[in-house]
Amino acid sequence: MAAALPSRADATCFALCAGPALWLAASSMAGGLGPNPLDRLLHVSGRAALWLLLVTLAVSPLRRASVQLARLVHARTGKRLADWNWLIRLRRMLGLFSFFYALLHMLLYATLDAGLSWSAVAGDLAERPFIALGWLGLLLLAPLAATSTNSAMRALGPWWRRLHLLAYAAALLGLAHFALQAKATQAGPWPETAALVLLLGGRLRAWWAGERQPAVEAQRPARAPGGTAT
Amino acid sequence: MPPRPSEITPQAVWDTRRSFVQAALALAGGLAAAPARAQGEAANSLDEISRYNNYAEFSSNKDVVWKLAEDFRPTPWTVSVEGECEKPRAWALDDLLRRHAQEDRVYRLRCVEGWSLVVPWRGFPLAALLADSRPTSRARYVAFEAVMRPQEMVGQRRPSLNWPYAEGLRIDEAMHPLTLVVSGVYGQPLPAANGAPLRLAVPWKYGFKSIKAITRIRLVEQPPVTAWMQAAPSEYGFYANVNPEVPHPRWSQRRELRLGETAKRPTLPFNGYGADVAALYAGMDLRQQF
Repeated sequence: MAAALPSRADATCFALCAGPALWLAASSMAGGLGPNPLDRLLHVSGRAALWLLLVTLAVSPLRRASVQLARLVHARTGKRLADWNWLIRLRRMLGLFSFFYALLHMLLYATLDAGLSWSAVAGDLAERPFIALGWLGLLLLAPLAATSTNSAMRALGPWWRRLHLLAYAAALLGLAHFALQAKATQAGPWPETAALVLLLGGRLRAWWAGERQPAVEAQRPARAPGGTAT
Repeated sequence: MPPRPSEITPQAVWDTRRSFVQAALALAGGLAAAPARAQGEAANSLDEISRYNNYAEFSSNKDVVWKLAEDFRPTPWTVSVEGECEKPRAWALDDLLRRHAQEDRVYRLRCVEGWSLVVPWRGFPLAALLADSRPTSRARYVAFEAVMRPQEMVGQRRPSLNWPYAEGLRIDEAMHPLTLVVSGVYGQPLPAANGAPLRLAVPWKYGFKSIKAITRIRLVEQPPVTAWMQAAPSEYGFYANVNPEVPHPRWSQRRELRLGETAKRPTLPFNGYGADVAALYAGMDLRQQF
């Protein structure tokens, strides 16, 4: 097991993920969020949540690709190429950061925009559908964050993967939430849409092809990991 | 030769005018019933006013409009008044500004996107300009047309709206004393990003009604179709009065962010000018005619 390897990857990933939050905190203290600070806060936090969720969903396809590459080269280094377990560990961090930004986004909205007034929140839900989509997306992310621990993974067994497929639904909701608030004269979130279509398409194709288990090279019984007879 | 506006009042002095006025009022021994201006509210800075603009002729990104507008040439300029009137006329900008005394008025501006400003405009009542052309009894509406210069206005090279930008008012709205033809802000000529050299300020309506860079004013019998009515008829009506009771699919109309503040504040019906203008709409269902 490559236990010592990921510490640097973990640290880099953490720094990158925390970047937008640190930037927002520093800018707001320095008064550098522009003429409409609330708008800036909401946009940056929301965008970070959506992008990180898309990156989280890209981890599985990346590992799948690495496994295929390993099979392709048939080399003794195949195991090394395919051993992207550290990506899975990053995936947890990425997903949790996505939830963190979604939560921050909601809290900024609830306090600075809605003024912690239930009637304001209820009125928004009734009058603006995209806000309801945002709430729903956050609601779907919450149980995923809550079951991200090793013990929860063990306790849930096969249900963990099924539960965590909700990440796709949350991404769809987040994307719709983002697209519906864009103004008419502005370009819609096409890059994010394209990314999600690719990710969802890849997932469905893999599912269709019968790959309903995690993409791990070791699952292939024909060749022992590392290529050496044991 | 009249003095240039910038020669009259340095901005630093201008910035203190409200405290001066308030002190004077206090001395006079009471809170005089303030006319429908944004009295008692601090005006936004020139930076806030001129560097965060919705001006789709340049960009849909409010933060970059001022930069893209830097090379816009507001002079020479003419604005025509035509249509259902006895004396149609094209005015050169200088003649127009000489003919009408310029007043300074502090107005609130509420953008349909849920943010707002307090702006010390300089200008003159639209009523005075229209009266010069003697509207006939058939003049029931006023149609405004903005400049079309895709060479200088990069946003006009995309059909994001049906260019040139068009707006309209009912004749009684246009003749209302609050409706201002604006030529400046903070005592200086209007920055290009704010619609130089001439724009409207209709403070009880959403900001998009206050058309920028006006070149043509037509007195007409039928209600004109505005640029935003064409772009999204379900979202933008002809009247576009500030109304917390008429929701918009994207932005809350119940509250607004005053630029420079951190949290939102409630939005007032008619942007707080109801005492002056509500009578214009007596008997109308403003939820239907939004």
